[in-house]
Amino acid sequence: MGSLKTFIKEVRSAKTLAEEKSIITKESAKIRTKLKDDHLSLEKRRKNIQKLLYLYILGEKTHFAQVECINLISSDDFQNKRLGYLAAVLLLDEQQEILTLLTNLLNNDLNHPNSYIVSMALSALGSLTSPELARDLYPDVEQIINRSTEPLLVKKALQCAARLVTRDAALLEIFYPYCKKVLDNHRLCTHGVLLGVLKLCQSIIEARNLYEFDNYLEILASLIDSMPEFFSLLQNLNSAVFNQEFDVNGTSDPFLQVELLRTLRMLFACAPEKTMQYVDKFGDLLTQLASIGDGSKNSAHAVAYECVRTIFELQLDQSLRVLGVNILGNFLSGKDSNTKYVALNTLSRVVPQEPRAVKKHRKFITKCLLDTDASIKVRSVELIFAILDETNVQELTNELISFLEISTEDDKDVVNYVVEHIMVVLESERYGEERWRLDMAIKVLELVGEYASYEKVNEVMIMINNARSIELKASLVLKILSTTIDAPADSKVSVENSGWKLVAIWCLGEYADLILGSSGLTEVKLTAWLANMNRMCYDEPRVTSFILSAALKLSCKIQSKSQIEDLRLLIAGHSKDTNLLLQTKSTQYGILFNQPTKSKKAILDAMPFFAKNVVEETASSAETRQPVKSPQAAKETNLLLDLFDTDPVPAAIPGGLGGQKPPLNSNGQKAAPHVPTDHEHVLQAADKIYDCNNLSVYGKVVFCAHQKAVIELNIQSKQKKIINLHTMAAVAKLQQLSMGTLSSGVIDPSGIAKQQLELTGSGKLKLRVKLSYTVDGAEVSEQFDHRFAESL
Amino acid sequence: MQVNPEVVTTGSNSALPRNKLLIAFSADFSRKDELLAKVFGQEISHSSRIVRKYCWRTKYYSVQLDIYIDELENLSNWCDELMSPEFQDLRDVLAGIIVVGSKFDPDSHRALHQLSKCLDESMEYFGILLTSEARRSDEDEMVGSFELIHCDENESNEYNESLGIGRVKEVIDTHNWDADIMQMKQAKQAKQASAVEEIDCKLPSQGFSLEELMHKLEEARTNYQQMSSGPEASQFAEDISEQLSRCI
Amino acid sequence: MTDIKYMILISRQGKVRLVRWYHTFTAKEESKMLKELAAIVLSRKARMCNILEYHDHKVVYKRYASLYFVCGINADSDNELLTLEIIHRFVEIMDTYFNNVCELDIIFNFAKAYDILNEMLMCDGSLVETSKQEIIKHITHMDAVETNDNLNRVFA
Repeated sequence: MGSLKTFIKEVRSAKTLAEEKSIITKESAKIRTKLKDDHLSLEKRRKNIQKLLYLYILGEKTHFAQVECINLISSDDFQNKRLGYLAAVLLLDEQQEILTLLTNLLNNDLNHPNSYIVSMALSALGSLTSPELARDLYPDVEQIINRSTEPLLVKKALQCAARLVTRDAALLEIFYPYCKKVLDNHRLCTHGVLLGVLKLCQSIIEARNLYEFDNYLEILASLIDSMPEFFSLLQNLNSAVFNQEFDVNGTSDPFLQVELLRTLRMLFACAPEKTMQYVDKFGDLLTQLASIGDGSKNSAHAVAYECVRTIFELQLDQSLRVLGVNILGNFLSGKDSNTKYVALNTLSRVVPQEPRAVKKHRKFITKCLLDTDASIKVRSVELIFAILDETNVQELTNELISFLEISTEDDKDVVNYVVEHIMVVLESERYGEERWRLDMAIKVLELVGEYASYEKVNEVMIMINNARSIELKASLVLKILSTTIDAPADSKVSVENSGWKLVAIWCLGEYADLILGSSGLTEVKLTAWLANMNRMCYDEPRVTSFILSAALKLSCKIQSKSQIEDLRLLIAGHSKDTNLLLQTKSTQYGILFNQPTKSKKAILDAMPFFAKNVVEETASSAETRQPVKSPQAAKETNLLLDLFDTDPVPAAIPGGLGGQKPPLNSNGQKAAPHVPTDHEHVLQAADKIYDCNNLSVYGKVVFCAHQKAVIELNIQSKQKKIINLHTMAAVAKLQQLSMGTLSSGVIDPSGIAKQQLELTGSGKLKLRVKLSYTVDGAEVSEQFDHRFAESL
Repeated sequence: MQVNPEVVTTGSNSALPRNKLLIAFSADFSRKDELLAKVFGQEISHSSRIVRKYCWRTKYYSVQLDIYIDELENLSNWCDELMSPEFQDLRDVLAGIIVVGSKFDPDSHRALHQLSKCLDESMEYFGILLTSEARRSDEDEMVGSFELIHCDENESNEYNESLGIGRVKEVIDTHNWDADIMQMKQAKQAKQASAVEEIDCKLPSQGFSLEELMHKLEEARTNYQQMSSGPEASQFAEDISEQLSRCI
Repeated sequence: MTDIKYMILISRQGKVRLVRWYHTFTAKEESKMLKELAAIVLSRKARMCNILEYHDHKVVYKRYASLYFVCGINADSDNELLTLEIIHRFVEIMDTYFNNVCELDIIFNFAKAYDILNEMLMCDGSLVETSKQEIIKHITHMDAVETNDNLNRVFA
């Protein structure tokens, strides 16, 4: 037993010996000195670089090796060059000045007689494309595309060209003819080369805003000319006989298929009119693609998924959109969790476009609640709330409750989300009769009240308080109290469920008179239970605070002298509470307790109907928002917490203390407390032209005549404060733009910044707007296009 | 192009290399010697306590280890002992800890989490918790920095994934051993002078015939063999055949 | 557009075995990401899906034998399912090249693993080649040229 002592003896004796030896120097330090030695042979340098790369993987510092990469590249030895290039792409980046040393070497190697050396130089250029390298070396790249007959080199040169274009948009003029030229050379077109062509096309389309010349339309037209070729490539890939080399589990080269789809998608998106002639063909092809391939394999799913994304990004016609939704629905019925993940994500995005089609798949959506992966559950829940409406609210609520019943500690976040959102649904009259909504709300609280925020617990109390009929109220209260007081043995309520406790205690205080005597709930029993709770929850100040209020209120509702005395003692018991709030409360209640019953009753009467504050939504956002994520409840008042709370008192206290009832609008909701100041109003009759998580943009043409137009943009923030806002805009080629100054670079939540644009020239009024800003400390940039109905 | 990772620096202050493997058996684990034989491929009795200069071999390197074999009654106590300041010197030279037992309770898991925290600063050791319990579908694969391995599973599954003892070996194989104790297997290099004729390494512009190149190589080898003899020649022949096999 | 931000290989013991950045990050960001990604990926249970959200992008990962292959992709434009196929393709090619690749092979031949990766992805993480045979062919040819070159140099 216990050999550890033996071991340490052994170690110590060895250590004494070893300590006499010299100290081990750090190896990387050795390499560093070695590298400085000019006499070191290349062979040794190579060994050292290999070691350095290993250090790189381990995350050690490697800057001192940068010059060494270049030395190796300049070697005539293939092995050295190969290692040098590998080291360069790993250890260097585009910002380093050392790249200037590379220019000549790359220039030589791009023209080297050994294809592999050219290939390595292309790879390096593709990774390290500084604008200077782009400018200096593009002729070499062009020459390779133009002259080489080796697919290895052409494919890489095309990829490089695509990268060069992103560095210097003017180069697209040089490279665009090669898309077609290479495509026409069928013998050259391996899949690798095709990927290169597609990449170059995509790059040219992406660079269109950076390109300053008028012939862009011609360039685009030449790409559009290649579309039939792309169609037939896609079709061939999906023909009955395809090359086994490219088979991926029954799908023919899904990589190439996806790139083809993306390129086509970009062409359709950037030139809707010029590509109009192909829309129907594309639709047919998408229909075809989405339905072939082995439906259970990831490779087939990858292609089908890309088809669906294409359908929705291009907003193709409704039958295709329904097809898209159905493909995603199929994904959900499978077993693969990755496919489910992307399906749920995509469905969430397309609900606003095809709500009916998505709703049809609710069975599979709710099934995802049983998935083992929390991220799938979260997405399923989000989607459930997005599709929830009057017709399916009962079914979906039942599914959610079944989920809550089996949820575990691991599901905490999902449960939290469900509780927060379902309460919003259950509060709203449109989702069913009051009795059902209240039953469900109470059920949720019973199951998972420990996860409900205090605000949500508060809302359940409001709902009970606002119940229309006294009978309903009585039966709810009876249910809550008898579950809590009578049957703790088989109760599903966990000890940690403080939400439930709060509601039960509150009900007891407010409504004991409604239920006294029924189901054996006697004065003795109620008082004893409250006293018991008081003992058990001594370390939960909020619960204790509720208990004190309930005790005070209950004392007016019962007759038994000895129970009333028990309640008085309960309250008095906290007069020396270490919690100051409870202590104060105990003292105040003590005084109140001794008032004559009549005046007590007047103060402690049950609360009247009242509503919580809700921020009024702007009409325009109503269509696009997802059903449940809003309305964002404003900071809710603590009306029900307590009448004598020392917390800041809310503006309107209803009932006993003579507060005024807030005015109600037709929905039974209080009018918005947020009164926007004048400058925050969105321009009248402006269209919402862009919408994202952080902001909406409204646009209006305020003037348009005599070759001049004035457009006003209103940028409205949503919930968050936006700072460092900058706007940039671009207009159609035949127009000039002058931009006014932005009214403010900072927008408060719901606030607005204004931007005026003046356009001169002719043609359709089209805008590309780029917004960059900081929100929550993160820099965001957004870009969108909009075409106004007017023309110059 | 084989790379010697001897450059890995340890960062440890200890003058001694980390070359000790500490294996702790729960007293209730009955197949101690059988397990040692499976991992180390030779007769090591668990009662020998210290095995010096055991040679662990992989296809790339070999390394000399000392194996310390302990028996424990209670894992929590054992961990507490190992974590005590007294054992700093021992901890400094541990390359790996393998804890073996038939069943581990939550207390054991907690103890290993603690031990991981104590050892984790360096990340220079590996930890394995080897159990004869069956795998549960929902179990965590790591207990602190100790990988949970089931010793009775097959050595690998259909996905070429090492399990059981196979995985134990893999963890030892892939450990970042101190450079000082690692012996690299020499990559065969064609350093010998020879009369092989120069081979054109430029690629023909249209396609590239591997066969042709290999043919030339083979020719070169034949020539060489005709012209010289002795160990250098056979070494060279081996190199050429290796190239061939790599290309195929 | 295939827009892979990085490809990282992490062992089950949490050690980085290969790392290639296709976007420019600062050294600080890189080491932070390596640390975080290792922790995240290792803590995932086997039945969880292979896609997760991480900072401003998505991470697609898959475990093969004792290694996790971890890819960062653009959250909007990239196809998560296709990324899984790209990872798979990389594994298959290494498997063919090394004849049943294992972690140890990658540790001791990382330069080869990089060579293979560089024939698959280039520039800013864009896919260059989809044919396994094509990639294996070029890598073995380059190996052959390298050996020849060696011989030539010795004989010179």
